[in-house]
Amino acid sequence: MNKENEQNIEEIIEKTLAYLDGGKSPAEISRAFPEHQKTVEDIAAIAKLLQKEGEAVIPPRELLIRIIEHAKSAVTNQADSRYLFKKEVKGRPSLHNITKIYESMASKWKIIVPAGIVVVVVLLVVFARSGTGVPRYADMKDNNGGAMSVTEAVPPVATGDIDDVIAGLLDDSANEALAFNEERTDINLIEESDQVANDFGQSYDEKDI
Amino acid sequence: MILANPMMKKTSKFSTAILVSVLTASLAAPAFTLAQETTSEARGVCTRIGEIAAGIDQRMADREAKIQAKRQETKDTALARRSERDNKLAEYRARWDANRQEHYAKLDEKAATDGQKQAVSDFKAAVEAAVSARRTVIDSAISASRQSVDEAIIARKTAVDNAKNAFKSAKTSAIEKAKNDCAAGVDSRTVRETFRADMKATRDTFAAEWKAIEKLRGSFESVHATKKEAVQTAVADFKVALEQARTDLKNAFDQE
Repeated sequence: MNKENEQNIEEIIEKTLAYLDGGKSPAEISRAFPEHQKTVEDIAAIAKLLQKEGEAVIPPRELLIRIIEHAKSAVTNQADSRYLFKKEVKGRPSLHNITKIYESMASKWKIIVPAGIVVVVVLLVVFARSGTGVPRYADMKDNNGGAMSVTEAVPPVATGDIDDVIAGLLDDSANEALAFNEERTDINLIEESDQVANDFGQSYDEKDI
Repeated sequence: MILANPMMKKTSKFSTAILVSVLTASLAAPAFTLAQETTSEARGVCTRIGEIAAGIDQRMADREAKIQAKRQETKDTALARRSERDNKLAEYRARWDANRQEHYAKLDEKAATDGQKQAVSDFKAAVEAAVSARRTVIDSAISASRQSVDEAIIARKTAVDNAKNAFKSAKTSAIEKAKNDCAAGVDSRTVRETFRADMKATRDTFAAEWKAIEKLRGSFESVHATKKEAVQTAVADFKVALEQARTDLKNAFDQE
């Protein structure tokens, strides 16, 4: 029963819309379906509303003409330069060019990224290896945080001024104190040797039995 | 029909006997397998003890070779570094000595009167004496520092060698005990666990001795700290001497 009712209503809707398109008024259509007068009136009201809204979306012809004319003057001529700093670039960058650039970059990245990783790894290996050869004392600082290297000090130019002489002598004294501090770095050699000796205790492996 | 009964009885007895045999065998199989495995384990530990000992010996030999190589490297590196520092210090001192002479020459040019010239001469003597005193202290401190490093290296070497020898001796004892136990028919599991415990104790003993070895660094630190104070004192004394020499020279130039 419900199904029959649904089918009837669908038929009524279709026919009502068809009659409306044909120019029939809602009153005339209601007379054709006396038992569904309310339904016909609702359908007609909705159809009228939709038609009204649809008309509002489309601008009037005159307005459309004005819009297009204005747009023509705002659009850049393809021959004009698009960029201030690239005079050779004309017009909009085409989608083809953009795609081409993207593909080129994508293919290059396939080379650049692995190459970059290899370079970083090589640098790390070189740095690590060079680190083992560099004596630790080269990294040590004195109490003032200065670099510990006697040879870096440059004597002052002789001016004949007594204060300059004294200043130079004081620098000399400080530098020689640094020379003594550098002796301390030898103790690091003992630490390096210790690690090898400590491994002797691991000669027995429980996995053997 | 009459004959069927005796036949049936015989068949029934036979089937029962087979069933019992099968059940008995299935129950006995695991026990038999376990016994076989235990026996093979026992044979494994005792037959492998030589192989185990050889493995430990090989590792000890490898590590000992590394220790010797590292010791030689340490010695060579220390000598090379010291030589380099000595050369650098000698070059530095020669450079600054020459510079000092340049300063003296300028002062000599500046000295106009006999008094000023004498003052400059006195200044030179005072400065040279102060420089010499300071360098004597610094050279002594450097020498003492190197000696303490050498002593620390020797002490460590002795301690490490003692620990190594103790390890070797304990390992040998553990192996011998395992072999003797195997020959005496001691349970394989016992042999294995005893050997494992002995070797673990050996390793722990080495680790404990190692902690004592690490403390040997303290002697170097105290020597270095003492000498550093001596250097700082020498530098301070040098400053005092310089200030006095500056005052005397300035007075001489101001007065005349």
